[in-house]
Amino acid sequence: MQALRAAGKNLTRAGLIKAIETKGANFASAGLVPLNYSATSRVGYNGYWFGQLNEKGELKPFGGKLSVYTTDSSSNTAPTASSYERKPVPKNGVPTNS
Amino acid sequence: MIRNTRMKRLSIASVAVTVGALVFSSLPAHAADPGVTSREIKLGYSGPLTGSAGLVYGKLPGAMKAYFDHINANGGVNGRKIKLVSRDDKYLPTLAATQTTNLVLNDKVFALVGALGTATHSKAYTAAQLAKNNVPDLFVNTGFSGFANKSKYPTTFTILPSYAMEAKIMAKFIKDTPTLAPQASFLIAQDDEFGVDGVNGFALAGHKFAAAPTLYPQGALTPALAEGALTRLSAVPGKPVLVLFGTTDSTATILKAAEKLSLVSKFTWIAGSVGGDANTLLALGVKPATINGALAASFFPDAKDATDPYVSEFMKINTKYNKGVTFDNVVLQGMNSAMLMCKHFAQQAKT
Repeated sequence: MQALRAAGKNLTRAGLIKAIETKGANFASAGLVPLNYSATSRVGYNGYWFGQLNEKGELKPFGGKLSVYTTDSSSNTAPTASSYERKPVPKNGVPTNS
Repeated sequence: MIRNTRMKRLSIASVAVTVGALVFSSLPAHAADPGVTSREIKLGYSGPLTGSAGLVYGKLPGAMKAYFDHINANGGVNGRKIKLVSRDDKYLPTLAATQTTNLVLNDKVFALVGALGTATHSKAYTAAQLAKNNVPDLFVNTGFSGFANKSKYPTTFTILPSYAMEAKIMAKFIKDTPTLAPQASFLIAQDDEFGVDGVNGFALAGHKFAAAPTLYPQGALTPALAEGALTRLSAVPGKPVLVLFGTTDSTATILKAAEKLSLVSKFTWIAGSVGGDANTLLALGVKPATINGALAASFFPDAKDATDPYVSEFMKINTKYNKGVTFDNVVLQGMNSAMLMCKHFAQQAKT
């Protein structure tokens, strides 16, 4: 009950927004590209990989190898290759507060 | 709105009573935000549940709810159950404004999650006064880079990469792929924030299309228009690269026009992440042989890839809590956003 009460006191709209700004880039996610949240960035994923569809509608990495690129929305700087590796999926798909 | 009215009444009262300070001191120092109790967190979603966009994206809130049901069955987040209220905006900006206002004022949700659509949500954001009410507006399903403007949308966090990012990466892909680089390339795009964001991204990348982009108003790409455009482009020698930057129904219209004109193999097709959802293309009647070999950009694993650990975990949840719904990219997207949401709650409660 103490934990609940503490959580109750702390779960605020402002606190939630702050939490995403400070920690949102580090959370486990299914994306194959990084999440990019910060105090100054409000865009989640910041990259793409290219695939080729087959007749079944499966998207397979182009050329047989997954190549992830990240970039921004507003500069003329070319996208860069990313070596991002996802965090493992949380057990049973349930995130913990660690 | 509510808070304003209350403040107004209070200030009138404080003048009338003359001991205004007493009135204020009787209020708690920090009133709790709406939509959260020790037992429940209430979230809101506005997006298309019906209509043509509803056919494609209507699964999204159901997928989020299925994930929340899974979390709730596992004790919730720090003992709180998550409740999702979904409202149908039919992908219409005016209705999105009404429904989002309803979520905030009537349903009194704590935060919004996964709102879908650029034109719809930008209108809704202002109408529902999300900035003024400090309503967290999380994991919005649009790549419109305008939402990154923190002063205009101080509570918004989008989930999709921006369309400008996508266009820049497409341009690099074309440039780096020896079979594509020497070919003439063309862009057919939706004429709104979505398509124009893409056009801008290609410009930033310095990509030169062989002609000015073919732009069409959202929902206005008829088979006749698509056939006309493809017939013109078919005169270009070689195997031109055709980039399609629109919604999936538009991609389907173009691909079906190519089938009719026997032009499928004339072009190399590149579909954007929004318009390249293979399940939807097949469901809209595009032939499997047509999509075979088409190129598409993505930031997720393929939803059909059951060897992916996230996909397989979400598939299990889908089977249990979202009965009868086929697991696809939209379901994956919904569950992923719901998982991020829960992580944020769990994380925040600890601090």
